[in-house]
Amino acid sequence: MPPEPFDEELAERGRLLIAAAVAETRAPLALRERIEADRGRSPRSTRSRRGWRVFAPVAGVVAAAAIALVVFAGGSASPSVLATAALATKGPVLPAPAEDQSNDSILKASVSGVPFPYWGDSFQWEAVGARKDDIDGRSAKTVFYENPKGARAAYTILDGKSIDPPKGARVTTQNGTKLWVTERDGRRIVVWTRGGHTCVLSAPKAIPESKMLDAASWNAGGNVPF
Amino acid sequence: MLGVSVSGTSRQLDPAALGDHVDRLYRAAWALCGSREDAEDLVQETFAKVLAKPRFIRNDDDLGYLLRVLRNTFVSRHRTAMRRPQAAPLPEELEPADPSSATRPDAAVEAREVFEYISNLPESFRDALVAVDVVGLSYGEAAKLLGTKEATITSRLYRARAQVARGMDPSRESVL
Repeated sequence: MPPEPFDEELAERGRLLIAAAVAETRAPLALRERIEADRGRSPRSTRSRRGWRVFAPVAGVVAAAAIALVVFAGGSASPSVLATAALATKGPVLPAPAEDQSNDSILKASVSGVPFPYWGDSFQWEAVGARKDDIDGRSAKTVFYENPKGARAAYTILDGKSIDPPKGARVTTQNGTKLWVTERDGRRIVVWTRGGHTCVLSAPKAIPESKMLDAASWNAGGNVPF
Repeated sequence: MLGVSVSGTSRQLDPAALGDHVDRLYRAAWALCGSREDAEDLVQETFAKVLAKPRFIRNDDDLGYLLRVLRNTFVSRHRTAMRRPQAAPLPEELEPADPSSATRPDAAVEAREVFEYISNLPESFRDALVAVDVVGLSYGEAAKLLGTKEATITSRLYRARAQVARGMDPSRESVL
């Protein structure tokens, strides 16, 4: 029996609903990192490494050069930065912090004395929410900012000593601040330090890198402490 | 890129290429489990199994192979869980907020509802939907994976999609 037109319409609506859910959903970064770590420990990896023994002397030189490059680039593999950036995809669970009445360049939210900036006037990025998390035993506070077009950026300050920027990140300096830039899963990630704490700004790649760097390094003439 | 041929008909699955499939398997896992947290565990366990030893497959269908392992792992976990005492679920208000990795909060809620609804469909409907609409296999690949005919997949998909639409908007029932 041929399907009724209404059933066909219903099935099509169901197909579209599922397609929308699929398009909106991606595996969390933390899961990717766990799988990557498992892959590094897999027997296949071990076996492959064994096959390189005959080239050990050459490999040693190459490895030493690679280590030197990483050291001079100021970076090493650091899953914590990626885990921190992953908070951006989790969304806010707390209300946005208010502006600080005594300093209109910062918000009333900080991590160990390092305050989040107020970007509403200078960048048209208004704080719309926040979240607090624990990453590898360290507390992390994130403030979400949104621009007039609805694009959302996540600014996380990680408590404790600063951590290494992600491997392969590009380094640049703006307003006297050293910033590392990388990309992951359609998002651009900027990493820098303020007051000895790692800050991570993550936003969709549609947001110009220059705007992210401007915002990250903005100190409002010294009103935003670095 | 995907592997090294070791015979005329089979080749070794390349672990380095598995990362390309994480998103699709995660969605499939969520649609099977109905919970984001369980989905993460299921995907990690699936990859751990696949990586535990070299795997040889007969064609280019890496994704189909991974989905088969995922589904088998899910069925095995489900059976084990059924033998254990059941824990009471958290009240709705204590559920962690925004459990989705979607970028828009409204879309996140809708995606979560869709995946939860799919997980509660009858098994045959759910499996067809996961294989075709969630993972993106062709009807033929889905039929092979699920050991049935393409026509059966077509029919199950049609009915499953309609059920999802009805479930996501119960008011439509009253219009009938």
